[in-house]
Amino acid sequence: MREVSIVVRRELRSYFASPIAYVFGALFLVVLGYRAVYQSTPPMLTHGSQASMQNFFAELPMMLLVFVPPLTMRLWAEERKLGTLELLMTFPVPASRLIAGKFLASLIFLALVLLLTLGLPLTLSMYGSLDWGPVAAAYVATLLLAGAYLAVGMFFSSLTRDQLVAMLLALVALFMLTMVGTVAFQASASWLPDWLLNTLAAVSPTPYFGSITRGVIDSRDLLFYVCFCGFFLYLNALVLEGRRLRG
Amino acid sequence: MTNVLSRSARDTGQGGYVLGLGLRVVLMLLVLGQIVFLASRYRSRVDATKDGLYTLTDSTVQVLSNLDRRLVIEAYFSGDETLGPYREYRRMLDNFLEELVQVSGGKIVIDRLNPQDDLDVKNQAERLGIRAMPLQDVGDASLSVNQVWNGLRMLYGGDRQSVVPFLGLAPYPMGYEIQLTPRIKALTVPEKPVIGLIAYGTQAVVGSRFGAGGNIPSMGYQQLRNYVGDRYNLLNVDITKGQLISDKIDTVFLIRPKNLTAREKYSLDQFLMRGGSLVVFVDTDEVEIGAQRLFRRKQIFYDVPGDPGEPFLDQLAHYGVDVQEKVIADFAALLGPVAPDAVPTAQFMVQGRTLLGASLVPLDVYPYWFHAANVDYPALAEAIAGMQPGDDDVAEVAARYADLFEPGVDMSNVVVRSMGRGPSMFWPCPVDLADELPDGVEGKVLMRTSPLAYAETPPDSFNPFGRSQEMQKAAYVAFRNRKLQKLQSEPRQQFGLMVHLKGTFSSFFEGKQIPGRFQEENDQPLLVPDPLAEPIVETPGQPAVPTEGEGEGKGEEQGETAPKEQAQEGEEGGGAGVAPEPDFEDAPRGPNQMDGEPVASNALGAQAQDKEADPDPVWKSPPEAQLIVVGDADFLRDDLRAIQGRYGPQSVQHGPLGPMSILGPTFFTNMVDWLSEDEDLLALRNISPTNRSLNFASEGLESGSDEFLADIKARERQLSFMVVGGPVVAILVVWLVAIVRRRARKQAFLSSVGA
Repeated sequence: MREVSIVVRRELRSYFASPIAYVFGALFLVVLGYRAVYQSTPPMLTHGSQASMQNFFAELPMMLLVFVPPLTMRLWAEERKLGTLELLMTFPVPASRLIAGKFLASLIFLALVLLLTLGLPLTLSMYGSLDWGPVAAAYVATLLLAGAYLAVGMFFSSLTRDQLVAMLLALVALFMLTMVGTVAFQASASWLPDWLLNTLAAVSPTPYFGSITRGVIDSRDLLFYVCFCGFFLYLNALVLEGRRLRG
Repeated sequence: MTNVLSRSARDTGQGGYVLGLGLRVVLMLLVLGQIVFLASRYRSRVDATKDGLYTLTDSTVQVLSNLDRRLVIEAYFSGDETLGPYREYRRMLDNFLEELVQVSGGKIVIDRLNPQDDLDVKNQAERLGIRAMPLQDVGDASLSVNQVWNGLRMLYGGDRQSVVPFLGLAPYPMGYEIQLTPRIKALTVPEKPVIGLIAYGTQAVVGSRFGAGGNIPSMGYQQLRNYVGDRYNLLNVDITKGQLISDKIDTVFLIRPKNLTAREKYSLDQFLMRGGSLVVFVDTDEVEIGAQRLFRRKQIFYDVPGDPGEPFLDQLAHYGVDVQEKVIADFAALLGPVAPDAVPTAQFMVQGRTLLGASLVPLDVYPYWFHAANVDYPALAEAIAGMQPGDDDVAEVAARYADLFEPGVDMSNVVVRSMGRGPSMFWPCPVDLADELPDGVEGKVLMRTSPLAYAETPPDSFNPFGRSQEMQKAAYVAFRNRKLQKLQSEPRQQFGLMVHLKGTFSSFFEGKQIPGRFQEENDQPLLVPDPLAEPIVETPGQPAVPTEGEGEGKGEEQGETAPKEQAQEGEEGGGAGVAPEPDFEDAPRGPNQMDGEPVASNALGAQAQDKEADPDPVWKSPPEAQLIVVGDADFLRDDLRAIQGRYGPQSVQHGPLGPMSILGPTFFTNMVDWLSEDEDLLALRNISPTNRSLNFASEGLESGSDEFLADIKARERQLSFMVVGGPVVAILVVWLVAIVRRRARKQAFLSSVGA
């Protein structure tokens, strides 16, 4: 655990020491806020409308899909390009702890950014009767979804030394994972066997997000995200272990 | 495991390594997939919503626990692609059905069938009465109409079934629970509970037609069966032939009693004495608006003229209920700024013009239509005192009012609590508790008017429109102003609209001659020719022709009001091309017939006409006897029942004639469930999410004014900017601070090095 916390602190320091954290945070929040508050129908902060964060959380899957790959692209690819990955691999620290540390650091960074959105539910509760239960559940769901996307992004970052390639691979993969869970895909791919369609729908992380944001915390949804993250972090570990062996 | 396989890779080469890698990935996938699969089968969930929107209610859990045989639910659902924007609702439904399966412990089985994919399934669905419904799907650039199948058949034990032709799509699982739980419960109950109904409505005018192919709806109570018929056996009880009400009926609804004989009153008395629940909907007048809006009014007589028995109102007073033969005018609409919930929702419509052209325009403040509102009137004492003209000290008056006033609705009673207000009432009469209740009886007033009400002897005419078709709105305003003037001269007071009494009632007939069942047992004939059976014809320009004893009394009592209204009608009338209304025939004396001939009340056991001796009279009821009296019966009328999207009966000339009975059916259904002790279903039906509307209005601004709207817009803009821009500014400030600190540290370092 000590190694993990050292990695976490190092990563967080590197975020805040560079413009990355601030630019990412500002852009993420302004786009998310604008879409949720101004572009929803009706606009969220309208007299007479319901005090609900549904519109806000409905925007998050797409926002995370766009913003998480740029965040994760540098995690391993940059280390490889700069040659610091080999140095890391020589440390007597299992790859799993390195991965856990980077993953947690990214997740904590995203959590801090999401913390800055609390102004919206606080405003809604001042002027209406906001139900905090679903709001809290939705923030939990957001972190779980963000974790799932981070795990995917980290995996693709570990595959290449080029950050742009890593970002594009992650973006496409997340886009496809999101699409296979939609009804539009299910309708258009009806030529596929049912068992395959059902399996593809089951691996998409988005439907589980919708379920939790409604206010129902289901053990099935929580376990899905844990398993999803776990699988991609495991793949990440396999890649790093392979490099360590080859190196 | 990693080290073992890595040694293998060195030993066997790259190919073996890749194979091992692949095996590990597949193994991990299988393990995780199995975990997710098992998590789907064995799961637990927490409903984080405050209203428990996604949790099965206790009533549903109880119903499911009572299943002792298998319940098969055949779900005739079309694919999700047909649902357009309602796909999420179908997902809710699927989750709800899964929840039913889990909670039932496997006694419920869901069989999903798609009528769109299989012609045999479609034919089977249609044979069951399940139909596809058209559903609009509005896309960004297109509009399509899909045929959606969303029906169910529930088979219980193989021999009982219930079919839902189309299950209404709902945004919360609770919406499906409300629709399905009562049906599941009805399947598990061997026999439907029996509710007795004695209704004295008025039949529609025979042969009259108006509107686009529609008859005038009946002023009877035939439609009540539709509200509860799937769960209760609503039995038409006939006591006109002298029978006592059957022991097998525990609850009787007596709607608009009129022309009761002594024997009928005795039947009702003995029903109460047996421990039954008697619900009486009383009215002083019967008002038909009519296609021409002539407002024909007939006084209701509770007792058959000439009957030797005592008045029905005395009987009610004996039990502890005070019914006044007056009509209430309530100006709760004036409380709009301080008590918006009290503003009446039932309205007249007239032809008018808006910016969009000719249109139906709603009118307000018809004081005879209002509802009991969940308003804390004592808290409004000061505001109401301020509305009273005169020089009295407002504070003193307010203090008096604070002691005098009561809340509009007693929220401790589940019927009214679950609705949050009373049903819209039409020309109601005051119903209160007697000054002194009988020993052993407890009573409560469950619904009251607002304090801006007065009770008056019913005027000759309730017509606010006069006779001229063109001057309807002007006549209405004049009518309203007359009533408002009268309000100013009346003291502030509330009137009861509904009372509930429970306890050991004593018989009204104790110490009196018990009315005989058969003619020879009585001094008077059992059935008295009804002098009111002759039709009353009202022609334009003339008020209703009073019958003997009716008009004279009314003229003496009404004083200044009647002559003015008659003069009004005379001026505006004069037969301006208005065709006379068809005859307004009263129904044959006695309760409405529902399906065919009435069932004798004791048809469940005894023979109706046999000359059997009555059972011994009961002089004291058991403590579970209940008497509920409601001061209106109009809101249950067929022609005023809630019709989705319409405003009651229609006229070619006027459009909607009158009001829609808001919450009338709900009130009746709630009452039936409450008295049948089905409070679980009652609570289930009336669960609704909390209203969480945002309110940006500043205090003190008049609602709807320009300042009000500008204030709201400004606040919306400010808050939106703060919420979106605030976090960004915070980040930029932190970044700036970080830059400044880093530069300061760098300067300090350079200084120290330089030094």
